[in-house]
Amino acid sequence: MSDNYVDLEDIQGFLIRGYNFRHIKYVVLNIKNAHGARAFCAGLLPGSGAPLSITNAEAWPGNNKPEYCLNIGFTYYGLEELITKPRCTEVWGKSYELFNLYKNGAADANNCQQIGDTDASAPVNWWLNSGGWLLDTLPDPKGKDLHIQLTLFAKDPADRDFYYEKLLSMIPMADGEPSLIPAFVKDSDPVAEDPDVIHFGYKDSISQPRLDNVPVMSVSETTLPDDRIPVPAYRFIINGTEPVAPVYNAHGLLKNGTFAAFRLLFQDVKKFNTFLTSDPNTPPDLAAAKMCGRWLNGNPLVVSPHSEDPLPGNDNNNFNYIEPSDHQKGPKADDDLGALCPYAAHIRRSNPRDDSSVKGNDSHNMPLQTHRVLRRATPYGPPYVAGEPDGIQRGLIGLFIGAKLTDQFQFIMSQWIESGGFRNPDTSPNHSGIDPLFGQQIRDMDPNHAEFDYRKSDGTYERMTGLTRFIRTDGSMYLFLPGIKGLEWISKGLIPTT
Amino acid sequence: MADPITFVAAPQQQHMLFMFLPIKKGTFKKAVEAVSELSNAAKMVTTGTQGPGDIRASTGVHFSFFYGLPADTTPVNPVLPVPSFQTAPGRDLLVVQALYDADFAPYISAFVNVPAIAIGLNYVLSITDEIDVDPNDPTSAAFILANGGVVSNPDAFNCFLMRYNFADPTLPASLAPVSKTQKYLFQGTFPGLTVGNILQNYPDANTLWPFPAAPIEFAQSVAPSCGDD
Repeated sequence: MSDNYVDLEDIQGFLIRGYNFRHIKYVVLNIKNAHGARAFCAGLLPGSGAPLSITNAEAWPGNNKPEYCLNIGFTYYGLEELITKPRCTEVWGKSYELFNLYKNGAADANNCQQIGDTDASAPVNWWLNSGGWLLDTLPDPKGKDLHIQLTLFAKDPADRDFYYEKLLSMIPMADGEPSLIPAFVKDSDPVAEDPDVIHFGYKDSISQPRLDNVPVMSVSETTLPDDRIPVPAYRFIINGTEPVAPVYNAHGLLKNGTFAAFRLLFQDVKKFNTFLTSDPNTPPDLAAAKMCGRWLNGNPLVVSPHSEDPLPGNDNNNFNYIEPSDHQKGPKADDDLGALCPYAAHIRRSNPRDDSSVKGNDSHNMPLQTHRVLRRATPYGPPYVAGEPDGIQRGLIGLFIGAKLTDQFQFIMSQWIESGGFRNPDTSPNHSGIDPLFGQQIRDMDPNHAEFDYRKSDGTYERMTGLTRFIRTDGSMYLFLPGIKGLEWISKGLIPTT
Repeated sequence: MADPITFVAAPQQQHMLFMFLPIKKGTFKKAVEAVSELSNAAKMVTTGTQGPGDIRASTGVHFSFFYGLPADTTPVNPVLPVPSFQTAPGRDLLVVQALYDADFAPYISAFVNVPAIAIGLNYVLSITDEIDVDPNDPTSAAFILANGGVVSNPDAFNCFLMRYNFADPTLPASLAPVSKTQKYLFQGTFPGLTVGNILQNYPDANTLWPFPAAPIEFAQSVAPSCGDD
């Protein structure tokens, strides 16, 4: 692959850095007038001179963080409004593998069945539970009223409101009405001093894919040993012209863009905490660690089998499950039996690393790394307080990014998180069930999914029964996140010729 | 102490592929040879950079059946007193039947992602005769071949296969019909007994059926005596 593969000027910034802003606003807009919506998009182009513009991936002058960052994505329904159906069909025809699931949308029944958006998580229940729905009409069950998604990052709530107002002020009027109106808005604020802590209490966002041939932005990443196997950049940044990505074909509109699943996930902390304390043989902190694969402070079980102080640097990310990585600390054990980290644990399911016995896992075999996802998700809602009234809404909101949704987000959800048969061989009593942080859906009749089992030091298994659903999907969209030039095409209502 | 199986999740279900693929006239023998080699390759896939190793559990294939028929002919061995397999005019026919575990897409992707097998699948595409399918259709054999083959188009390849698949990929092998509207009866004696479960739970499975496979000699079976030679 060429060192010039990544054009930082043309890539949206959050594809390669997390920004580390603590206060975020997630906005979904409904298009009322396509001409005005295109003008709004044109205003968002860097250099347009408008009050706000999309943040690209170029280095910040002097490494000084800007006052805000802003990124954008489009649903297929939104793209149809902006570039017309025939042009969408033309792009689809030349980008089938990338576009097909996106075109059907997150509410597609087949997709929902695969990724567990059923029961209370079904599309018919989306967008209203959490608060933040602003349209006068009820949400369309297929998501046809959701068109443009914007993520606004700011350093404090006042700045967030300030820049949001500026953003809204950029919306052109058409026939006396705004061309776009907010359909759904949700703020995200830290729930603990450490902004990476989520409502279930875990420190999150530790293991993100490291993109091959992409300049690193964090100083710490350049000076500390980092055992993460680089993931080919084309897994996250679509290159539409160079024949470097044999895994898919892409129309020119997609160049330097990518796709994402936007997820609004309610987290039932009370129910989760109740399960943690349900097994008399398992202390709650150990239960939490075994279910996740990390202690609450982020230390992975294969490096810190016993709770310890937080590991420094990349020590909490330098590890494998079978062959220890170069700088792995701790016991450096072959965890083929899942004795340290259960197969069922969330981090092992969502990224099995070098465990080639996991179905479909090619992470050990560069340059494949087919099933990786970049997470840009943060908590919403107030911190949980024991004894609080029922019904308080909180959870995780944000984007799960990957160039090919079927191989990345959808594969991980359908094959590793939400279904059994995760690994072979697997001698655990419930064959590792499903991801315990998600838990069993009401109508899931598989008894193996109703418990979480972990292997003890004597080789027997502790069986934690009564596993129920802890996460409910309250909203979901599949988005195209264009490159800057792609956004320019969209703002003109046009597409490149190839 | 185990309990009787009363629920079988999708990844544990056995499904059927029953495909009638129109292929170019004069290619039926090569087609059967090619799919036979594919089947053998799946049993011999090596580890490391050459392949993912033992893919029996991930492919979940219990049985497979391949049959080729020349254009504008009917089966001759035996000649049945009723119509059976038939070709499209001017095209050979490749019949593929398989029983496999789990859903269709992961079953196929387990093959597509093995380079040696992908080459064979591309060959099958190259001899497919889709005179009635728009070559600009992303799921057509012509389009897939012209745009990187099955590796670059796995989802389109799934749809290509489904175009010729008589079987219902959502219908599991079951002890009794799962629906009053299912289009055929598909019974299985051991629902939930996946290839993975066999390898894991049958005593000495990996010794009895090692990977790569050991050669097996089959004794002569006997057909019923029906009064002729």
